[in-house]
Amino acid sequence: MRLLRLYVLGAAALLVAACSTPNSNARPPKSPEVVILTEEDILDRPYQIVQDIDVTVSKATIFSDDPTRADVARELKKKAAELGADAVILVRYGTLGMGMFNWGEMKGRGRAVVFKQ
Amino acid sequence: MFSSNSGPRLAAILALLLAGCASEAPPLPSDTTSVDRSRDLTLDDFTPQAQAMSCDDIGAERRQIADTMQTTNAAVDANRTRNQIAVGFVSFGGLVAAPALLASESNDAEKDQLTKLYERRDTLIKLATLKHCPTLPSS
Repeated sequence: MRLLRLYVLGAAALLVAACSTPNSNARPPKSPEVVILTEEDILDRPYQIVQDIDVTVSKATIFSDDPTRADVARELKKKAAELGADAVILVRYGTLGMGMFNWGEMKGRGRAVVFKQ
Repeated sequence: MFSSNSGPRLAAILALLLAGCASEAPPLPSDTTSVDRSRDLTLDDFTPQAQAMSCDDIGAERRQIADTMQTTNAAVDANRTRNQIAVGFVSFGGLVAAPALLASESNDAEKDQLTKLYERRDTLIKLATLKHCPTLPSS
């Protein structure tokens, strides 16, 4: 009985420990203004990939302006900044058109990276 | 809720929406330059024609690709207005769908061309990296 109680306590401790394990890959978010955005690769500074990111910018109503590449670029920067990335490289854009649930949208994609010292 | 002729009208609206829908951004190339890359690029990764290209050749083709992308995107954007008018006509006017369908433009050829241009541009970026060519200003 005592052994069983110890076993249950140990299992519970392991569960709690697993919940509180910090994510060593988590990076503090940055300001979108400092995130570099380029359609090229960056070769003069070594970097590590954080994540490939996708964004979709939609127009709110039929009377709103169509989304532009600048809007997509802004969203890519924002998403990269939330991930703590330094730059988004190899940026590319889809074509402007109607979305499934809106009157206009444009998609974008890029690779969020963080520079290594 | 819908009148007896609402079926064809809904089908026409759906067809127009699909014709003018936004395309996905082309896929990203494999990683060959990050610190975690699984392997380094070699000349064997390229066709003999690509291997023979000089930095000037690569730069010239990249500029040509950038110009073609700009023209193609402009063509898609120009048809956007036409597609929106067609959808509006069928949705709110709704009497004759056929002219609106004829007026719409799917731009499938342009979208395929853009995807191919991005793929070629990715290849040229990698080739330029391998050959230590100077980077071009971002378009």
